Amino acid sequence: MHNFSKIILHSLLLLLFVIMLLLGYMAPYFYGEKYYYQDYKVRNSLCGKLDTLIVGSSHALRSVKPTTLNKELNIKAYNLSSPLMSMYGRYVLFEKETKRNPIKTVIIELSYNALTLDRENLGFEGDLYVLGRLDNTVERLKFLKTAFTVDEYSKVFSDTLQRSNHALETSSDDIIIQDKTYGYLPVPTNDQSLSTEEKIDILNKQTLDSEIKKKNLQIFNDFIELCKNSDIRIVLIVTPVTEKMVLEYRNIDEVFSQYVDLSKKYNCEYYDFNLDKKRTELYSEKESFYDIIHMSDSGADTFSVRFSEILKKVDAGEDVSNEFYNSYDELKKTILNQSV
Amino acid sequence: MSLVSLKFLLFCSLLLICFFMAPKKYQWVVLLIFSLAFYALAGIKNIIYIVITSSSAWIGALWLEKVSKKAKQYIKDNKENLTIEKKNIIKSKSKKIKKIILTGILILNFGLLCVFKYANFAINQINTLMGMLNAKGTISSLSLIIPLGISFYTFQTMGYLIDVYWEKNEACKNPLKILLFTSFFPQITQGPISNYHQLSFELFASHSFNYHNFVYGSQRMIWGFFKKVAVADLLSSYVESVFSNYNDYTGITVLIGIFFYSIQIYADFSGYMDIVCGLCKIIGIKLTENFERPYFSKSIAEYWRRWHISLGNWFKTYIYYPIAVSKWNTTLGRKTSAKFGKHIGKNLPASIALIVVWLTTGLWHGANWGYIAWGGLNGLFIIFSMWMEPIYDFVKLKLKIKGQIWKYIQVIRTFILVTFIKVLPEVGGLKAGLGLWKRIFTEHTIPNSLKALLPFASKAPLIIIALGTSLMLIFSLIQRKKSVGNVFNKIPTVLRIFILALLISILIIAACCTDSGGGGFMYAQF
Amino acid sequence: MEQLMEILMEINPDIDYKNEKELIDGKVLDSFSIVNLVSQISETFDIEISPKYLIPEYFNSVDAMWKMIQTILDEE
Repeated sequence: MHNFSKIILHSLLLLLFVIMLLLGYMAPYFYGEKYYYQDYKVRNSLCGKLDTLIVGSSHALRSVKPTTLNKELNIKAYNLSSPLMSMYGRYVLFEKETKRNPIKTVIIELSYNALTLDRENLGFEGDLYVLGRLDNTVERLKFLKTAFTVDEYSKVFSDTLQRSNHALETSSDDIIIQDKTYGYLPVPTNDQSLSTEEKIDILNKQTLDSEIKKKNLQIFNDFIELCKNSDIRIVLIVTPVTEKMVLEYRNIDEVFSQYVDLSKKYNCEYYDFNLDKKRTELYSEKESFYDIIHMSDSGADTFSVRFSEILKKVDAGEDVSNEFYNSYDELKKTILNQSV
Repeated sequence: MSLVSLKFLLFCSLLLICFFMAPKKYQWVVLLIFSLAFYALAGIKNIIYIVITSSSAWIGALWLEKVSKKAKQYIKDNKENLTIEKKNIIKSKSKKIKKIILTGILILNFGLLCVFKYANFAINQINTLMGMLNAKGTISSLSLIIPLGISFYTFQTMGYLIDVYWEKNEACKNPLKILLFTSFFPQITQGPISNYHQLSFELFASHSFNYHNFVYGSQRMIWGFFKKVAVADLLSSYVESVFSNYNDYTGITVLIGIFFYSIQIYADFSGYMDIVCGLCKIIGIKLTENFERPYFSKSIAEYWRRWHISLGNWFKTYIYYPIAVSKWNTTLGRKTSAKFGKHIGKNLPASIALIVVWLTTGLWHGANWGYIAWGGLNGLFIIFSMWMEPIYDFVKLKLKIKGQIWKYIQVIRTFILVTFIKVLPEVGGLKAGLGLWKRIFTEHTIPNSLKALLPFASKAPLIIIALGTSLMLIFSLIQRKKSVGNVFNKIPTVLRIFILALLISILIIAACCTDSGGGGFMYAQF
Repeated sequence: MEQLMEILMEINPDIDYKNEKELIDGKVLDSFSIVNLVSQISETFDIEISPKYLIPEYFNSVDAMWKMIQTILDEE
């Protein structure tokens, strides 16, 4: 028996040492700030100064320029978006910043799958980025416990070790640019224009999942509640996607009409910039987009100015509803008519 | 089931619990059940082949023994009535019957092995030949899944049968015991190939849990995992880059690549051995060692006594000796001795046996011309140095070369030779192997930075590889005189456990480094 | 016995055959020497050495070899 207790004791000590060593090896990732999305140092430095937050996924990350909004609207905004961000991930970062900043406005970006994509299909990549953007152990552990399922832990663990490894090797000093861009990520332009034949070819060929998932709605509800309780103005937006995207999916209206309903239910502002009547004059399919669903830096410039313009009008008491089409069907007709 | 997996660790834990809780008489049954389970997990359909081999060996061995015993008994009972001539007739008749039984079962089992391993190779050669003769049509290749470990268990079990034929050991009456001998799972994937006499003693003895064995065995397993994951697996992607695109790299990069390969294959194979020997040590079974500091060998012949030792021993026992000491060969030796002198007469029989051994060894390793060439090349080097021995001795004497320096030169020379030869079949056929050699000798650019020298490598894995290789080197140096286990266990307990934890952590980190990250993350660069 | 010693001395005169008890296990004689040895023994004593005798037990010392030769002679 003496031997067995020795074995158990030694094994536990071995396990303890291994855990300590591996956690130690994760330090370069969490403290090294070598990945673009790890902007906690920048956010910490802006602590107490922000009054507007932009929260979304990669669409908002690449379309909304806080520097433009700050200039046009005389605010102090920060873009909290990161790629594949789950609803819960958005909530966690938003809550954190709200606690330490005098936030008056939140701009929530909703894309075509923000509420319809469940965690299972979204995957854990987006939550990995959020994990990397948190800056204290308690928050990280809490997020690990809530956002990830138990069977994902080993993948999170191995991914973090891999990122730590990469962080040790990366020596570049200019990765973090959020101190200049306030969270926005510029990306280059790729031509997304279609010929008339191509437009007709792809018209209404695909279907989107239009079912809003309960869990997403629940978190969204919590989000709204938090804002209402803190007296924060809620602005729901949809950032522009390419004509290609608009034309391809036959049931876009099904998805977005639900967002309209939600905005009415929660009594918050809602602006779908895809339906902007000025879109064809503002954005060029050639210059304004990075890929089918993301804007380029050039497009983000234009969009951020336009967005500020709309907000200024709203703040001045104007009715902006006639600036927008009523449905995607209407938009599709316009796009097709203009090609002829 | 990969040995480097949580699944395997759970499997071993379960095995150990069942093994030590079972009554000592039935411990071998536990081993058999787990061995069959291990094999079934690799593909339950293939169990039929291993059962065929094991049962044919069991039946064959009993039959051979029966025939011998019958003849011996008859001679004994009729001692007074039989003339020497009659005795010899009975003896040769029984020998003939035994030969037929043995041959039949060998053909069955080696035939199975050949069909699985070499049928497609043979078909390709026939097709090539037919193509050259402009014959129409081709034979389509067979889609065969090679049963796990068939090269190993066939050799091991046929070795048992041949031993019974030679009356080296007795036949085993219990078919399940032979099945365990054939399918013993620690050996099934990569050996070692054991002989029945030594392994059966270990397998069927009773084993009590021993703390010392547990400690040494698990330490050895950890070391094996480390070698495999932190050295071999990290090197394998670099070696793969070099081998698949050798013409894209400088000669010196390719040269480093082949030395990486030498380290990789040693770490991989010997690491695997450490895992299985360590596990068997915990169980209380002594497996035969397969490696003995092979890269410290002074000649190719010595290298093959230190690398994959059990395979070398199998070939020596069942092919080399029988051919070399066979009547026709020794007669040939005597005749050539008389005609051409002692040196030739001594070396000729050995050379013939060696050619057969090395061509079959090459073929055993793989079904392509690259492996056959590799085997032949090894054989040629050994035969050449055998014939050149008197000249070497003469030169050494004349030049008065000091022992110690000469030994170092021999070791380095052998390591370089072995590295070059080893690579030949691994690049993807004989042509590619030769192409790679050519690249090393004809491309002379000298890279001006580490990044240019090893464009496919990153810092952290290189550091881990360097650490692992240094440790392997240190252990080898220790092993010349002492056991590494003994030296290691003199270290104070907490420090010792910390070192093991460090090895485990490094290997986990290494495993995560090589993991491609679940299909490539879209935003991984952001 | 002298004939056996003669053969051994011819194969490798540097070994102390009288005292060496681990000719095989101690890797003093290699497989080439064994083959040569077997060939010489079978010619000198006119016996056939079956591979079953090619184990350390019968070749580790001069005495072991002599015993093996006697055993084979008895069998025949």
